[in-house]
Amino acid sequence: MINVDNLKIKYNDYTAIKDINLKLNKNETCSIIGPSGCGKSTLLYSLAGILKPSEGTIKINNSYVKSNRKKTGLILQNYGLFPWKTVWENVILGLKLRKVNKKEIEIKATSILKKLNIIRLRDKYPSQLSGGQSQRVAIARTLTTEPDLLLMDEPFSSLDALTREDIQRFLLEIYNENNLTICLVTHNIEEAVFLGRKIYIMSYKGSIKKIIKNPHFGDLSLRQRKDFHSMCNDIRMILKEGDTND
Amino acid sequence: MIKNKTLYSSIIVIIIWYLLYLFIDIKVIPSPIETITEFFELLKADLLKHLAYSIFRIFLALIISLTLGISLGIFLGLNRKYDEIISPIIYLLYPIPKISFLPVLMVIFGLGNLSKIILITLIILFQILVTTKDSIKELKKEHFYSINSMGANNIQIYKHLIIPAILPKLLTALRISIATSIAVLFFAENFATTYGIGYFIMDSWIRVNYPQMFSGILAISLLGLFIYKSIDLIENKYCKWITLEKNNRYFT
Ligand SMILES: Nc1ncnc2c1ncn2[C@@H]1O[C@H](COP(=O)(O)OP(=O)(O)O)[C@@H](O)[C@H]1O
Ligand SMILES: [Mg+2]
Repeated sequence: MINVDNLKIKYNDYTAIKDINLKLNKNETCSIIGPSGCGKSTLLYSLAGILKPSEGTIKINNSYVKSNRKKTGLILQNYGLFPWKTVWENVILGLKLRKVNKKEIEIKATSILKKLNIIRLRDKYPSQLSGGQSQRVAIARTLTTEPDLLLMDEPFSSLDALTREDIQRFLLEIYNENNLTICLVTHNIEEAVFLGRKIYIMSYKGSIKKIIKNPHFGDLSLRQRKDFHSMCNDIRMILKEGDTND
Repeated sequence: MIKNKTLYSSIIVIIIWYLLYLFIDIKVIPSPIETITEFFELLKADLLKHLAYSIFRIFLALIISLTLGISLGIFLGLNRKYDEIISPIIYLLYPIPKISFLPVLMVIFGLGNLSKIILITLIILFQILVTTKDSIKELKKEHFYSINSMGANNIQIYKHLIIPAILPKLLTALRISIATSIAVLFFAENFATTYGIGYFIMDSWIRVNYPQMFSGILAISLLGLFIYKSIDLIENKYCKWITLEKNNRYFT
């Protein structure tokens, strides 16, 4: 589904990421992990069509990504919700921008809000929500437009541990139900292992250091297994290696 | 706690006014009752016409400065290059009391309405321009990314992102600049005009007609109040989220 070839992205003269090769099949998930500032968000934004490659190519379903793609859903680091819109108005925005008719909007959004268990928040404003609630709203907003590819930028980083695990499990459920392809950026090792079938480890210089396949992906009780912790440890070691070698 | 704040404060002000009238027994403070009766009498005569002239001048200035200020403010807020060239000039001119240009404006644009309207426009324009530009610069790039990723076109970006983002501060700027412009208009209307609420007040003063002068003061106060209340109304309707964020603050 995603095919990134030799990608380089520059901000003016500064090269944020380079030599990026990334492949992701349909209905697969990958996590991208790396130290802060290594270019994870940059990579994700380029997949979303917001940033243009300076070199190399990005293809999704065999066509080049030029601008935003209708079936790509993007969830940003601090949710990207608009403070002047209520939960409801935020959630239906994507449909409204696509000029979907009112009745259909009403039906779709209501069913998604119910499924995410946030229907009672519909008239609240983002400033009245907790972190976990905002996160659900952001997910709901993206799901209304029925994406086949979900790009997420450290979506759970500001949540407490319990809420985070809750929403991570919830995300896996959505993934299974909707045949999604997910690409998730994180700096949390456990999150990377829990949600990624493939784990891309980035070096702080903005390239990919190692790709790890995760055979245990999809197991909801993964956290209780020994393998989980040994895998987390391996990744921790690889992340640390960079610090000493470079 | 207090349901009708306007009613409550009007009553308090009238009581204080009445006490001043009782204890400072000079003619320049007429009794509230006398003034209010006089006010309604004068409305039937030509007070309304004076008021209409002032309202016309303020509203025309308001429309011009909103149009110019918002569009230029958005342009500069979104285009850093031009902003770097133009903003230093704006910030230099911003604190200058625009009223000091009245003589110049009168020489260039004549003594009539035009120079007065331009003067008020200048006052409101700067305030609107600077506020609009600043609120756009406060927007986070995530907001733009998120609306772009949903495939919004330019008009939709204005409708859902830019306009709602600038509205609250715009209203605050309007409150401040309208108060100033009423004061300035009051002054400017003493030159080369025989219509306008400023002229009406000063003319009554010269003719030592204090109840009439106070009716003028009452009229100009009601004008200010009316404009403030209209802004409140817009704020309550479209900027509810700001009120909620205010409620989150420690000192409410
Ligand atoms: N708009 C920008 N202009 C210039 N440099 C940027 C910009 N955004 C990010 N960078 C730089 O690019 C690098 C990667 O940033 P980012 O992708 O946000 O990292 P991460 O998400 O991994 O923390 C950082 O060094 C950052 O300072
Ligand atoms: Mg980031």
